[in-house]
Amino acid sequence: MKFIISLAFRNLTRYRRRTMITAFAIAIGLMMFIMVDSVLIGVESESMRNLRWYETSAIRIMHEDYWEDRLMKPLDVAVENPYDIVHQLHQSGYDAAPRITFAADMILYSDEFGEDGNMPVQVTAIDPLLDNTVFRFAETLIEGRFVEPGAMELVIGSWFAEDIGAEVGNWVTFVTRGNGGFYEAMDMQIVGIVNCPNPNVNRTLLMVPFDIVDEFLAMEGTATEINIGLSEQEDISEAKLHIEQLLGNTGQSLKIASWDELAQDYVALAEAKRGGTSMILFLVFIIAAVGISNTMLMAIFERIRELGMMRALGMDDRTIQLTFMIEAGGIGLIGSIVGVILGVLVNIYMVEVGIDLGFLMRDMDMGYRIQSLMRGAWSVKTLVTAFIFGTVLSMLVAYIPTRRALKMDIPSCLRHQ
Amino acid sequence: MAMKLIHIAFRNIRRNLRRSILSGTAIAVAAMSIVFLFALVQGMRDDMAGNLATYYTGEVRIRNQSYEEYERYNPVHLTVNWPQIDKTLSSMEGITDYVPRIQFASSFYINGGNHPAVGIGADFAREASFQDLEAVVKEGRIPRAGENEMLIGAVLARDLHIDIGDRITIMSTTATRGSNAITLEVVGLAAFPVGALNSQFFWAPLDRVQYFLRMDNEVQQVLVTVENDERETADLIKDRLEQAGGEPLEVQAYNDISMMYGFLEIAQYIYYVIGIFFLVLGSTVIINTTMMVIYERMREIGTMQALGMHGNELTRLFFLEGAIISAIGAFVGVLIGTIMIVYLGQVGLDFTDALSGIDMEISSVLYPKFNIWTTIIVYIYSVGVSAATTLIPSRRASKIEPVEALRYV
Amino acid sequence: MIQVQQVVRDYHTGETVVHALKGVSIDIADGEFTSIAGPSGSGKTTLLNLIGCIDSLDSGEILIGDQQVSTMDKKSKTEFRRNNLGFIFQTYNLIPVLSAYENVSFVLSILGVPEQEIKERTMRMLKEVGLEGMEHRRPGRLSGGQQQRIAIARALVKNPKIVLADEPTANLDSKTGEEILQLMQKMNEKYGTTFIFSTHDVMVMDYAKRLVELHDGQIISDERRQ
Repeated sequence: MKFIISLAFRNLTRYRRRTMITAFAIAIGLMMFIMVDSVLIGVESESMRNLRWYETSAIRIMHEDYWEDRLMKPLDVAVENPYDIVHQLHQSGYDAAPRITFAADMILYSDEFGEDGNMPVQVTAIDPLLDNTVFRFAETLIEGRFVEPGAMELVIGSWFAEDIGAEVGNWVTFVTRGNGGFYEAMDMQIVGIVNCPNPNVNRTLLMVPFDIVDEFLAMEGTATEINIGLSEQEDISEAKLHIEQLLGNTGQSLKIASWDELAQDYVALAEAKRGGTSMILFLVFIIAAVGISNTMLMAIFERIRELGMMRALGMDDRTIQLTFMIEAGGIGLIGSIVGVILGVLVNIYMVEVGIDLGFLMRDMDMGYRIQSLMRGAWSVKTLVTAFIFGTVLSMLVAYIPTRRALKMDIPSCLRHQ
Repeated sequence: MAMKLIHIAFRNIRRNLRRSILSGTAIAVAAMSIVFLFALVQGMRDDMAGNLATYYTGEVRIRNQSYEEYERYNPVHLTVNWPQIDKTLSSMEGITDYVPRIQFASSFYINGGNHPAVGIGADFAREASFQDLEAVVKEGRIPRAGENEMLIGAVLARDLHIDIGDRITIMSTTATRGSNAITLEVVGLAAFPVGALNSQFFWAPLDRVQYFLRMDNEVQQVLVTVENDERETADLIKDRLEQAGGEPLEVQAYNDISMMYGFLEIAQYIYYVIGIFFLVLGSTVIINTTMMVIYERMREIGTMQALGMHGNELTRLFFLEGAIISAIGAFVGVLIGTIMIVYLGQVGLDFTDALSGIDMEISSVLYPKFNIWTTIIVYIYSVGVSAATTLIPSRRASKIEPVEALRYV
Repeated sequence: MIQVQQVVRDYHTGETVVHALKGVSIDIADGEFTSIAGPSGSGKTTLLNLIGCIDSLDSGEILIGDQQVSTMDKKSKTEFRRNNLGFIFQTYNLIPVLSAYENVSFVLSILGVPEQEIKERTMRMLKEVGLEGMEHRRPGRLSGGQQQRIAIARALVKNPKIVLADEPTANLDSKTGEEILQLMQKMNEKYGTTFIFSTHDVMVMDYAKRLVELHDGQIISDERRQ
């Protein structure tokens, strides 16, 4: 066995250039695989983080009937006694915060903004004391301050502010229908601007105090949602089950959804993107496989007489197969090593520096919740997979040409060339 | 002598059919992928252009001069004088068609909640020649002028559980900066090729929208399709309208309008880069295969040299063989690619799921676009690369002394 | 003892059929130093290959010892060759990336011989063929004669019953060729290994103790000398 390995590697030195070219092709293929995978992981984990920290939280509690009509943001199917539930959750060690989200028409006046205007918006009423235990807006404030309970104030996302030319101190009016169908108008003043890393939020965020909305829209103390934050290590399905049990006897029919249910558009997109890149990678692998196969074909072909000799001398087919497969595996090994090294180097750049896609993200909704930097992530699993794949695939690819040569009868082999 | 060489070349190819097919196939696959990829990109570009023109901007768009600056505010009060524009355009040359539109932000008030939607007030009679609305109506019909009716995007209807026959109350800010509401009956569901149009928009008769938004006989924009160069015609229109009196207007050609289009041009360059990358990768396959083929035939080289053929002639022979295989292989590849393009150009590639989360003016179903020039270029390139790669090893092979090559036996 | 009985071997190349052996019968005793001679196309290489179990016949039988090798399956033939047969080729067929030592020792490796024994036997064999001191040289750096010596060492190191040599001197000049023949003769006498040559080299024929002539797939003469 030792001899076979030694022979295989010795044979690699016979055509160094061909070996190097093939190994290089494998290396490039693997490097691309590592890079793409790293970027996808990086982008996906950042998106998930930005979703959970700023948009969906980890788990959300709503009235069961709310979920059906959630696009309409109805106010009449809300969670009753939200603070009791919040208290219950706190006791079990969960961070929780109630919110009211409602759709409104935001009216801008020419004396503040230079021109009259209006636009449909989504407004989020938060409990200023609890909200930042679940969401992470505290770190994102870039101007002014957060809203305070009982005040007609609002905090706006920085891209939103840029788009409409809003500044701290501007007044806007929200016109909407309250719980019961009556029309209501609320004048609010911008007191703070946050730069939220979640682009979808940064483009649309309007935060106002919970108690004000409760009063103006006659919510009677209800909340349209209760958000729960979990650390990244905690298992979401477990927590969800636990919470479902916990709240089983509140007398309300509640829907408890995890973040991926709430962000279905994102999840679908991420899957599609993965599918698409898998196809591209598959093509790259095919090309690398063709390279190896050709190299092995050439190698075997040039050595048919030698092959005949080995068979005549009594070496069995299996041993000969193994020799060539190890030889191919050797090329794969070299390619894998180089590929992984290249992949690691590129990844260092991608993880530490990343690629700035701000110009694309600013105005286009790409689905991923990334504001500007597309960064990679480290995955030992990917590196190991790439390495093994490169080596094993090369070995397997050598199997067929060898088998074909072994089907030739020995005298023909010996007569060859 | 050249004639004979070609015969020998063909015969050699036929003699080693399997090997020839192998390298020819590699070239075919590479050529096919490249041709297809470029067609897809071209399709995307044309598609975006088409969508912009038909649904969003026309080829030339006329709006209130201040509209762009405050576009984000949905300033419905910044209008343009439709009768005047109508009169001016109807007397101009080089104008294919034009339609008035009012695009406005509104909220649907349903049950206990509300949902934003974008309304388009349109003159459906005029629209008939501008775009094929009939084809887009999935269920029901187009609203009638003078009636409180709407045509709603199918996805929006689905998301809000709205169906034909439902009466929806819509609220919006008017041109006099007050609020107003109107109830419209859903008479049709539309399935536009652009996803965004189906999930955010509804269409209503122009006269009712004008009434509802207190716009008299003004409109928000006029979309024009033209015969000649869009930018030139836009300038022409602007001049004419100014001459006719009235306020100065914003008149823009579509390729100056949307930032999206600028992005597409960037995207196109990215795709060309990807295309070239595949070209290179495909080329390595070709190079790899042809190199292998040459090495296999070292013995033949010796024989032929011993028979009196050497040096340049030998090189030319191998080159010829390589060129023939490349020409045939690339042709087959390009042919299959073209067939795929033409077929999918009719049927379309459904990217609906993949694009559902993205907000771009590209259709969910893409149609690869056949371009004879791109196809020819890809063909020439494939043949060129593969023929060239036979050159190097065959030059080297022909430099071998016959005696050595035979001893190789 | 090799018994070849009524062996027929045909080759089908495209449309034509070549009758390489048309019913050949011959017995070769242990320890013989036999040459099979004949012009090109006479079938001598075919006969050698059949006895060497690297080809299959169409009809007839071949027995080596008491084993009917002609009906063995591929695997059994491989094993039989491994254990019992040695080959020497016209073009030496050494593995260029292995040293002289390794070229010889590897046949013992595939037999599963223990490491220490491999070393001992290989070195001894190399010395016997006159390559002492050249063990680490690769074939590329050795002359034709030296390479053939390695081949002989390789063929004999496993103590085979039979050594089959197909035109062993064809690529060598006459002086070297003669040296090689003398070496093989020495081995034949020392170890009692049966040597069967296929050749059309007159010098080889002269060295043979038995000369079998083939013509057109049939034996036309079978002469014992000395």
